[in-house]
Amino acid sequence: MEVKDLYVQVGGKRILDGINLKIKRGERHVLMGPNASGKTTLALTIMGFPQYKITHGKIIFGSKSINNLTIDERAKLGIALAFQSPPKVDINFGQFIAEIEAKFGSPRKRQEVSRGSPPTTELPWWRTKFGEEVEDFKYRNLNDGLSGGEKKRSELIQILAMRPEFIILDEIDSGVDVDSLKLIGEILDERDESMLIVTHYRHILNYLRADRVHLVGLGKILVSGHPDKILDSIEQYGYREYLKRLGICKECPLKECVVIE
Amino acid sequence: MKFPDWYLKEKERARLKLKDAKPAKYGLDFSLEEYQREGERFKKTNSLRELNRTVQERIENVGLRIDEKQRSGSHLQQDNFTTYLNAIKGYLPEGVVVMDTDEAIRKFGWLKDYYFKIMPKNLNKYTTFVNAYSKGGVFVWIKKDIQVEFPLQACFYLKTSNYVQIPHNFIIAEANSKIHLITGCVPDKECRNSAHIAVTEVFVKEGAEVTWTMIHNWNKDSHVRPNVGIRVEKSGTYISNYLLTSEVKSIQLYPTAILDKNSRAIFNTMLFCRGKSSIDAGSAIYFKGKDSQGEIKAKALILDNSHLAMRGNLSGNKKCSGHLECRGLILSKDAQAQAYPNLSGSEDAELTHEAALGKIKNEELDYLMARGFSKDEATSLIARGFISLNIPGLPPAVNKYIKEVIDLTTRRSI
Repeated sequence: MEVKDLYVQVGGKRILDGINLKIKRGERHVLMGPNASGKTTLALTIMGFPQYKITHGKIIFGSKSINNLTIDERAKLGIALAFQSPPKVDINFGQFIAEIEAKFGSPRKRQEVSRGSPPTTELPWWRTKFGEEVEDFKYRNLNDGLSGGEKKRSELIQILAMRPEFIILDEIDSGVDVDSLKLIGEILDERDESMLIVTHYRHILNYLRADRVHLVGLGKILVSGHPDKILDSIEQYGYREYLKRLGICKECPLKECVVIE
Repeated sequence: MKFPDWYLKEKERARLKLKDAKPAKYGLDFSLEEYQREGERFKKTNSLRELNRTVQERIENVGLRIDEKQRSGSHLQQDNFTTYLNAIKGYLPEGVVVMDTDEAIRKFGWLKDYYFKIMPKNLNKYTTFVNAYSKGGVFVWIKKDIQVEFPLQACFYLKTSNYVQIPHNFIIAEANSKIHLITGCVPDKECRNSAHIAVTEVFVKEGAEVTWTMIHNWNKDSHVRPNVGIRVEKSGTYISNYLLTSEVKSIQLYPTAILDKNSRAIFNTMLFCRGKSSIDAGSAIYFKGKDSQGEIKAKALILDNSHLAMRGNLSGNKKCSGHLECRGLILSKDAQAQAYPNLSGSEDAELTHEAALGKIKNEELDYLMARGFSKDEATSLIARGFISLNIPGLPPAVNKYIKEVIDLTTRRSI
């Protein structure tokens, strides 16, 4: 996944101002930054939401530009997004997972076929993986009456059912209690997929190891580097002070992203 | 056996009244004079399997099982003649009487005390018309304490063109009895300009429970007026499921339940408003007894050039509780819908309503597309979820048919 010199407008307003980002297969990158810095915009632009208009630059997945692909075409290529605030939809959760599996092929079924064992009537994989708390999801409609943590679990189950290659997590850790955060982090940490993790807090990174952190501000990636080198400083100083210390501010335009290894 | 005198006189009086009868308060008005009421008599059928395959398919799509599995009995009316009646051995208990209404009127003198006792005779020209000319219909009488495990199925099939079917149905559930009736109404594919004008009176006596599932699949030139009145006595329960799957010239229905003490009524209505359909569909509950409860839930997919008026009325002056929900998903810019939720109550009544009309939110479509579904597929999934049926006892054919209808109609709507 590569984002090349990307400029994006929303409702005529420029939000992203030349973003460059390269995530190699299997890597996990974190996007941090103050509110309204453009983190979610980047995530949703990669997914292809039509209200995010690319005025310049390219998004490359595999070896091809996906700029002109629709949301569903991108999903079918292997890009999956866990939404920050998923909408309520009148579709039964269990049936929806079955629909997704029918589209992308169920991992369980494939395994069973290869092992030659008969299909089981056991609990669905997501129930086994996510524990008892998701038991009653099968009676519910999508995101209907779910708590913050439950919504995030539901998102995760959906995207794992898609068997993606590249996962975008838009604040998978917001509104989630400590136990859920641990569960979500650990489940994700076992995965091989490449990830783009949009977050405000470093807590999830205690469970989900990341390769790189990018600090977004002013529509650009201002700082990139190893998590250990960046996270402590952000926590200590806060975004504004941290950037100031690096000599980055609104009035002093930046030529290149500061890289901290 | 002859019709009793009271009945013949009643018909005669109604015929005289007909020329001054007023149009219905709701729904499109149309003339009844254009239809023939007399037709060729149909041969009795020995088995639903004897019907030709096209007829069987149409009947299955409105909820009937041709194999009669998990059914306690079957009734088939073609045009105005009952052509098949089967009480399934071991499944239809002895205390249940199912027969053609005309026959029941000849046989049971006491039916006089039930005849037009809920439905006002002259509510409008359609009820007067049924009083004047009714023919056939299904009569279901469940005796005290009898509980019927499997649903009873009935079908109204229209064959002749320019013809009006005029059944008068009775469901009489004596104290502590229980039954589920599934009726399907469908015309032959070749039947043109048909009409179905019906009156159904449902008596749910103390502690009894009646579930009535009605599935309609008409032709685009059919006019349909099912007039339904329900009385639920103390601690009784009435559950109505209504589903319209096809285009229709016009349909108007407003089943009305009157609730005694501690009783309840639930109306689930699901409508596909297709083609140029003119649909006026509502339900009403009158909470006459203390601690009565009611719920009206109506959902509609509004497509093509259709027009829909959704109505709901909860009315109570005693301690009672009721909720009304009308939701319409508009999937075409040429379709139109109105919702008329109405509540009327005094201090002790707890009555609530919610109504919503509109298209599918882009946010929902985008969400589903992010899971790899095309816009068409997403629309269809949302429509299917919206209309999802949860009626026990319906054959798989119905759900399959509904899925086909949704896929077909939503694809066209985009």
